[in-house]
Amino acid sequence: MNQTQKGPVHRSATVAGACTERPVGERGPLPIIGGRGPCTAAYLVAWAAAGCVGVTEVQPPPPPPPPASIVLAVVPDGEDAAAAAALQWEAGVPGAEVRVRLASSNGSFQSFVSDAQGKVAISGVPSGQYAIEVDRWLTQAERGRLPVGNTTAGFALKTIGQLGPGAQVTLTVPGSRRSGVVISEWSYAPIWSPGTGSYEFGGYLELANIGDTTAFLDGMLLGEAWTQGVDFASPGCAAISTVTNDPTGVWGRRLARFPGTGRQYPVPPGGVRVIATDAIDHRPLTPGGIDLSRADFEFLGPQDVDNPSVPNLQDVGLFASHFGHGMDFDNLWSVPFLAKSLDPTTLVRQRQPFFSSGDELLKVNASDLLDVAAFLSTYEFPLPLCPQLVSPAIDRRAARLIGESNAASQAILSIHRLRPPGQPFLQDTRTSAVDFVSGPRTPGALP
Amino acid sequence: MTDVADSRPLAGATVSIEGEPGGRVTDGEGRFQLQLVAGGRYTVRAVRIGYAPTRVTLDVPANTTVQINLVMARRALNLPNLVVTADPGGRARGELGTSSVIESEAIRNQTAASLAGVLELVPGVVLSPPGLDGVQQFALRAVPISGGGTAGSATAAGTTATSLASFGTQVVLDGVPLTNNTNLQSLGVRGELGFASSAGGGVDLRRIPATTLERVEVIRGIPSARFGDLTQGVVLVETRAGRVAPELRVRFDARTVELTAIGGAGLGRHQIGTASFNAARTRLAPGARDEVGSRLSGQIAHRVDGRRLVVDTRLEGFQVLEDEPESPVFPDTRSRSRDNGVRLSSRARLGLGSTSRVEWTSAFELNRQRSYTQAPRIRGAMPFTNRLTEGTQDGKFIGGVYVARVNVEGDPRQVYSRLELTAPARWGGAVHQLRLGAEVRREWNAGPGVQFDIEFPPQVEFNGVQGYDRPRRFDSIPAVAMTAFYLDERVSGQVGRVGVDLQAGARIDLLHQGSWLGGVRDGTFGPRFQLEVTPARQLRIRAGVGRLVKVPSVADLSPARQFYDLVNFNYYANDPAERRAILTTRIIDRGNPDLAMMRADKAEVGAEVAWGRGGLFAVTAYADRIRNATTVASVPTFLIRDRYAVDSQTIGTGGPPDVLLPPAGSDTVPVLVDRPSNRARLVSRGLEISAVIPEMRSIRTRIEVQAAWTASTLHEDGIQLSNRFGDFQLDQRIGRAPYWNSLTRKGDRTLVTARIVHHQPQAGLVVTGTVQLTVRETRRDIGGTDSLSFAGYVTRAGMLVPVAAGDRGRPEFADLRVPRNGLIDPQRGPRDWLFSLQVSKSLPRDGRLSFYAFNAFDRIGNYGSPHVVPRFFAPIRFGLELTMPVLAPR
Repeated sequence: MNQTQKGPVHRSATVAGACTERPVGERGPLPIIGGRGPCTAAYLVAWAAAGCVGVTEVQPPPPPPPPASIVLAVVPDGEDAAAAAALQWEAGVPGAEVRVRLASSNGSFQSFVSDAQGKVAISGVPSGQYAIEVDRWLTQAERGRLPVGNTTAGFALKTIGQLGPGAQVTLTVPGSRRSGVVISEWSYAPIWSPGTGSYEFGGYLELANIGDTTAFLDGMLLGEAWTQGVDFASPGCAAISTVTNDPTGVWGRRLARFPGTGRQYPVPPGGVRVIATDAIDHRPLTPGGIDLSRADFEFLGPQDVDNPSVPNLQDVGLFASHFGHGMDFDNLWSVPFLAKSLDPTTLVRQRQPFFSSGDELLKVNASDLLDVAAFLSTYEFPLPLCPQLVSPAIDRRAARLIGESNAASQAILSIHRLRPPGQPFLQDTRTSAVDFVSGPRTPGALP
Repeated sequence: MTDVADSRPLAGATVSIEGEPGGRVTDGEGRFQLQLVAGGRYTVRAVRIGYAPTRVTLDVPANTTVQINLVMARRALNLPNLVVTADPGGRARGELGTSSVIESEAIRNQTAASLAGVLELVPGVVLSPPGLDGVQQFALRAVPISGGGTAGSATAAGTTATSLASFGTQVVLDGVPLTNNTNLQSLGVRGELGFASSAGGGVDLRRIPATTLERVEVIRGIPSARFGDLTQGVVLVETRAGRVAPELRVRFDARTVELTAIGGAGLGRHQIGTASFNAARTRLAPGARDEVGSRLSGQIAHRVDGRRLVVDTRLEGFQVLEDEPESPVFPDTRSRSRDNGVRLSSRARLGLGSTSRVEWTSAFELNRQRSYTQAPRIRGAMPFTNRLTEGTQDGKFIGGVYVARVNVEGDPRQVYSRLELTAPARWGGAVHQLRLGAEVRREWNAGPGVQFDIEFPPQVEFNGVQGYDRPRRFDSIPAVAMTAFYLDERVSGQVGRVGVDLQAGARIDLLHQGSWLGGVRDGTFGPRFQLEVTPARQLRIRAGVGRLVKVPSVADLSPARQFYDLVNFNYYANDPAERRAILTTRIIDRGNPDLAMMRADKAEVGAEVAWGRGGLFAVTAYADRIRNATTVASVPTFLIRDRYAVDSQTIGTGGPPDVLLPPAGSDTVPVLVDRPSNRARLVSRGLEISAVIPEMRSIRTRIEVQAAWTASTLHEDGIQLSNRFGDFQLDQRIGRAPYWNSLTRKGDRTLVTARIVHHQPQAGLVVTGTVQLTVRETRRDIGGTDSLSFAGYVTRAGMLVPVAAGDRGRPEFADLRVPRNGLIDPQRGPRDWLFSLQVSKSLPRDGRLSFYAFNAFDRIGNYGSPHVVPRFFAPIRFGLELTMPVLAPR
């Protein structure tokens, strides 16, 4: 209990304890005093003078202030202005489900729904770092109001934000588009066996058509953009940003082209196609291997095997896989991409100054890209991470989902594009960190 | 000559001048007299049964008689003039070249486990902890720099200066050279697995236990014409033999245990027999792996000492084993390397007249090398062929996890013989010693060779062109035969007041083609010349030049054939019965019929100044140039690969498809042939300084400082390709690849070693502290690295097309303008400190107890970085060595 002392208190004396409330005229016990000498005497005089009677007023501690409301405003991303305008949602996204949870917690989310102005008022939560998820999927009628050719299917976001009392936080949610053929599964984490090392040949990539019309893979380009996830001494993140932060396209060395001359390899809406490094049954070759002998396509290298039942992609890049089994994807950081059917000889080819070997890279313009994903390993690198694997204009944020796969534990995971609950399509907000999750390998089947 | 214990005269001691023939035996009053041809600095050596050998170095003025009193002691530690380091002013017997002489007491004080530890007393040798850690080779006067190699080939690593130098340093054990020429225990650089082996370098010195050594002479300079098949220097090793008081010696430290037993006695009137046995074991990585190195060694020596005929016969055997068993951390991974050897040698000396003699030395050595290595491997599915001859055949498909095991079994053999006539004479006021000799040697390997299941090869980098490994027998490799003739004369005399010692000789070395002594493949004439003058009693100046030669190893003279497996048809259907692979095997003989002997031109100058009592300052400058050193060149050529088209799809039929003939097409595949050639040059220059400060009697302490600076330049003629050659090889879209002229690699090292010896003869106590500092160690490559540094390009047909420097910037060469990588920027190694301490104390009954500690204050920096960090495996060793006589001294 605090006490208001009256009377002199020597500076060097420490007073611990206090007079308790007592009836007038009754002295309380001598308070414990630190210090000595004259200070003590002075205090004793003060105490005696004060008498500790009728002097104190005990004030109860003030109650904590009530938590203030936090207002979240859900607004559409500027890239989706056309859809927002058609839906008259420029001011905010109504009916969006907003889920929040303390970032340090693994408990369940608290859910809210935005009002007609796209706002959500949250009360009863303490301030702090929060994991925030937002999604709003269009109804059939809403999709009918979109301009012709606009493939927006909804809006989705995952982010971490600081929420504090009285704050108004704006959540800019990008649209999820049903744009056609996208990368639906990436499975290139090596299969590691104790004592033997990594089996590097059992990877695959899966494509899915999330659009409304049949797509044709003939001549499309499948590749991996060159990137670097950590800030090496040489080259560093700044030096390579001319290619890893180029909003006009992606640069890479690994590139393959689908066979066919026009309409030989269709993918209907909802269809999936698997491209394997080796389209064989890997189960006899390594623990943790799976059967990819029914893959739809495979890469071919100078020392691997060729499944005659599976069409081969043609290597049109500058660098074949060092394992000799055709193209594969990096398992520390990977930016796979799918591009339109192009003549690869027309691609810009440029020597990069940060390569001591004088290597060149090919550029695929952003306008020719059909889909790009960005993945980073979950490994705790001893160096700082680069700010981006690819320009945010192409993919906003990489998904940190590439993990070691241990054959002994059978916990071999791949990276899947998310299917929003209750929706027939996969999510594509051009944000890999939002659009992808890890899960068991399912080549040829969507979640 | 008196006994230090009671000053009584010692009769029957043999006294000689080191480096000179003959000697005298002390009479009943311990007296002796030696006649010298000229004034100068001499080392007097005395030996007597039951006593430790003693040496005294003194300066003798010309035309004077010098009286000295020598003392001997039953226990060496009681000798007042005990020397426990190498004598920087000593000379090997019969040699004038710069030498380090290491006597028995210095050997014992080193507490070394093998000869390699003893050789640390030589200037410029880095200290290492005692034990059987790893292969121990001795590379005289060379800096550890590696060659540039050729990326994209099987020999990307290139040769190294130290492997060349250790290969070129000869070790002579009891008069017979040891050889490593037929050691083939190697999987080469293509093999992904490996094991410890000295193949390609010098003899593994672990086979020679230090506890059995009597004396070691290291000729660092130019050896006389008596010695051949070397480019660096000679290590002359004498093992203990004769009437040796039986003793047992035990060593123990945290990683090494060792037991030695030795003894010798008279067997009748004219015969002496000696037997020695040694067993040692070192744990190589305690706490990390169960890897063990061990040695067994034994020798029986017999001497028949008649009036004119002396015959020394030795039978010795050894086993060196390095074993890395399987561990739970690395299942199925293990390796073992076991070298066994037996050698029977004999030296017979027959006196001719009063001073001349003829000596016949012969030896037969059998070695048995059994190594294996095993590790699990994992690979993807790939086409495979096991064809051992050229041609096309159906292959199969392999892949998955397997345990690769390869056995390498070699049986090197050597037959050696030398006949030498020595004829001293005195005329013209000088002493002449003429030596005339002939030497014959034949070496071969009779082993089963490299053996493995070809379908589970240790190498997995099959890229569709580079062939799978194939087994190889060693016993089909032709033997190597060498003969040599030499003439050597040494003249010692006086010119005015200046003593002059001249040794001149010549040697003819012949390398024969095939078995015994067939046609001559290569021959060399090698003159040797040494001059030493003693202008003042305490000053010696010498200079020498010479040419030496070294035969290439059998591995280079007869390299294994190179296999290429080209995939012609690749049909991996889902049904195994419907699969088909067709591959073509091509074989290229890598042998180089023009491969010749390596040649070394050596020159040195030096001076020694004595001062005070036992003080000495010696400096030597040298320049060595090895030409025609053997290394492997990657020679581009091409192969044609046919491509077959399928005749008809057989999916679902249960059978493999047919292919259309003729082939649907073909492509050109550039390949590299790894051919041994005389394309390397190693140039070394250096300076060696030894300073011995006279004993400070008040504190009974002596200090010796050695400093050695060596600079080496290694250059390999020929071209170097980029590390992207594999891409060029496999991608038909790439029409050509750049090549560069080979780079030059330079390195230098400065090493300073200080030894502080505190000796208390009365107590029989010696304390030796050694401090070694690597003052400077650098390495760098010299070669162009910019995009205009390429010298030309190689086509897919393997043709080398040079491009003039002025044309390299033209647009048509844009694809070739890539920087060259792989060069070492100038780097400086960290300053490295090494410490060791030995304390030896004599015990009753001629015993001895020694304590040693190595690297007690260990730290090392990072190469190219200023930071100091502890070593990963700090080799801090503490140990004890106990010597106990078996019988009471007489």
